[in-house]
Amino acid sequence: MSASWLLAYVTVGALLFGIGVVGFLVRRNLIVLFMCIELMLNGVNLTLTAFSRYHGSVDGQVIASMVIVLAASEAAVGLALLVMIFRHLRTLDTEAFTRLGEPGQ
Amino acid sequence: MTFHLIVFVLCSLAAVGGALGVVLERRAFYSGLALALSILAVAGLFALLGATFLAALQVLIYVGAVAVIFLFVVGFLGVYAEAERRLRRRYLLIGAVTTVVALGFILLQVRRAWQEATPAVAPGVTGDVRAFAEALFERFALPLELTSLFFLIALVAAVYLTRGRRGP
Repeated sequence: MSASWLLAYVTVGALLFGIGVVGFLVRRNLIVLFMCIELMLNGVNLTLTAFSRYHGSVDGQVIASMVIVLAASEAAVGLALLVMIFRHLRTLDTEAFTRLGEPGQ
Repeated sequence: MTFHLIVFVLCSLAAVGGALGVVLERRAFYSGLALALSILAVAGLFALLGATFLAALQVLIYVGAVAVIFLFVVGFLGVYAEAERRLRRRYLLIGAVTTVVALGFILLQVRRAWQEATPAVAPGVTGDVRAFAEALFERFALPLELTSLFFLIALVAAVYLTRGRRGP
């Protein structure tokens, strides 16, 4: 694989990561925040796989497969917490979660 | 080569477009559908890179489990019809700066790879499932076991957290 192809793949990976970061900071729905984390992890996986192909080694692919498993477990625990939060507060708006905030802010 | 280029352009357009859909769509259910599209397109890019096993994993675990769980939770909680009134625009600048820094770092790495000019390896080497399995079960055996332990702990934690109120 030539270096220009590597550049193309990692650009797509960086775009996915960047869109995920912006979405995580801008959106207010907790479920969508989790989706944005998945987007970021996808961008990282794509970068890992592209470099793995470029260097002719499978190490990047192995790490990417572990990232997939970790993302799945993160989604499981995160969504369980999210269901609990929804049961308590009846909303998923992050601006409503002020119980740990400083008073008067 | 042209086939490679066409599939690459289609898949990256779908991946980036799906990601934009996740962020821009106000209704959470459609965000989840856009996420599934983006993940599928990334699986296509994996297959294009020769990482066929990783592409299969991506479709099975990400699309088949994670994205479906997201959609299920959105439907279960009944927030699919509830659209957000406004975005937090003041964080847009921080997000843009982070993106530029991450992009710059990656491009720096690409430039280094460019200068090193690694000798090209025979195509198909990285798509070999046997090589993947050997790396996974020999050099990465300890991380693999730790990952499975982590997964088990996460599973127990998720079941514990969502148990009924009258549970033990």
